[in-house]
Amino acid sequence: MSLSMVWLGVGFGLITASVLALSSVGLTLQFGVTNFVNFAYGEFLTIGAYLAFVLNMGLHLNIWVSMFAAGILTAVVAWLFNIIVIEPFTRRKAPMIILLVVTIGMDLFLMNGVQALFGPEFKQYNDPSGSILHVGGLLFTVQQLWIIGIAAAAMVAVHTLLKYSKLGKAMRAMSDSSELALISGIPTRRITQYVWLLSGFLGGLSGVVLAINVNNFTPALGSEFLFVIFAAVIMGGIGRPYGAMLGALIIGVAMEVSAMFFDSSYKTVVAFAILVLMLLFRPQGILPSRGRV
Amino acid sequence: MERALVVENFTAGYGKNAIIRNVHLTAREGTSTVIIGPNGAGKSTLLKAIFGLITVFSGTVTIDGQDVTRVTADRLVARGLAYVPQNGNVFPSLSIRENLEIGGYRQQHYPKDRMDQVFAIFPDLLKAARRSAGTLSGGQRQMLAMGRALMSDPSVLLLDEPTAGLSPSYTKIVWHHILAIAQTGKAVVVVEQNANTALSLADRAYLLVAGENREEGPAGELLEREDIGEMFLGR
Repeated sequence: MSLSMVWLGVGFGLITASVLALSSVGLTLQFGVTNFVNFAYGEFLTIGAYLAFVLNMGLHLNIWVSMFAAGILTAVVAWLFNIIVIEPFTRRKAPMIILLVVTIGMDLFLMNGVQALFGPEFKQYNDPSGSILHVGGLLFTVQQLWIIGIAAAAMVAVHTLLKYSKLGKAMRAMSDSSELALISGIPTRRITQYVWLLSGFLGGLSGVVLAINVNNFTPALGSEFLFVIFAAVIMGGIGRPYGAMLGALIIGVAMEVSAMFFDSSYKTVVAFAILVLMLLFRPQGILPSRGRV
Repeated sequence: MERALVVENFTAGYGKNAIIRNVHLTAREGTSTVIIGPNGAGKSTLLKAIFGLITVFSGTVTIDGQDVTRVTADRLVARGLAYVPQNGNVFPSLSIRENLEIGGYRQQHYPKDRMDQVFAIFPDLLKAARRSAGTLSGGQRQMLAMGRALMSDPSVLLLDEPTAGLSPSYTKIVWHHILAIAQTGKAVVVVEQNANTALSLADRAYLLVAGENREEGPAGELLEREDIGEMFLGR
């Protein structure tokens, strides 16, 4: 096993980890507060990617401006998704299994909706890839450094929100106990809506950087990535954003290092294997047990 | 003393089943009121219903003269009512200070002076302000839960079995704090299993049996009554 190949894999892994960190933190935040897994989350990535495609190719906006705008628009989509699809069930206190089935159904609905609008063929952004830079013995394009920078900035922003803001503390309180949060005077419905907005924003951003990273994409972009997101979320402990950041780093690097030695089509298998091993031996995640969001 | 909380003809329960029927209760400013009764009497259900957590079929709840019947729990906090449930009454992953901040969520800014007042009542909390609430003992959690409820500066504080599972020495400490809180002018309503202790310390008492009012009056008088002693106080 060549050390330089491992190092090269680590470099690619950092990029995958950045994409993964955005999406897994978005998913885990929503789970932490609402307490159910959203199987349609992958479609937030797809919708983000296609909205950026419209802005970038249709309106000729710069890709990074398109990415940010697509993030905001995807946040609105997620907010509407909660109000129109999820809330009617949560208001009736529907069992979790019903919510899971609803989100799986919505995943298929949204993916086919995107395919009906844009077609099944590959899409690509107008995105000059830029020069290649050497950073600490690793090779990155300018775009890839942007992706890492955006993910790092988003993680710092999420940390600041959760640790220091009133809204973030309310989210963490709801993650511990929604009923006690309500009793304490927190408007839990409104906070849940903010969480969906944030989750959708991060999902949208993640979809765009994923599409930039893989170069071309189809309507299956998000759903194909969903189980990799689950692997990172479960590795970090479901509902725990800091764990999801760490999980994204480990899964991202493990996938790309494995691709240095095996066919790259197996790298998703590596994520699945880690997912299964985690569920078998440490389903609570790698971090010590300390509450969720 | 003004009447801070007035509950009249109150019927509430789960689904379509009424657990408490035509209950009345009055708590005055600066006093402690205890609700006692056998298991299944509906004591905790009454507090939950007052706080809007279960279905109210009929009757009214007023706080400081304002009708708050069927107002949602989060809005009741802003109307001067606070509630401390028996279990799960702190946010374990948040620090003590963050738990208190959450209690003051409805204020425009985190009320620093309120927090100082709470720390003055519960000095042990100040010493461990950065500690995670999940690491606290049962008694410490109870202090924190009361402190969190006080952060919204309520007129009426509802406490559901605050001494359940605590040692006799911690029970004394908790009651010491309950009486101190009442002396600050708040109406404190306490559901208690330990009826002897509660009746010897509280100002006024209500006895609930099978979801209905059975007796009421000054707590000391109820404690002295032989019939109540034999039937409900194990004498």
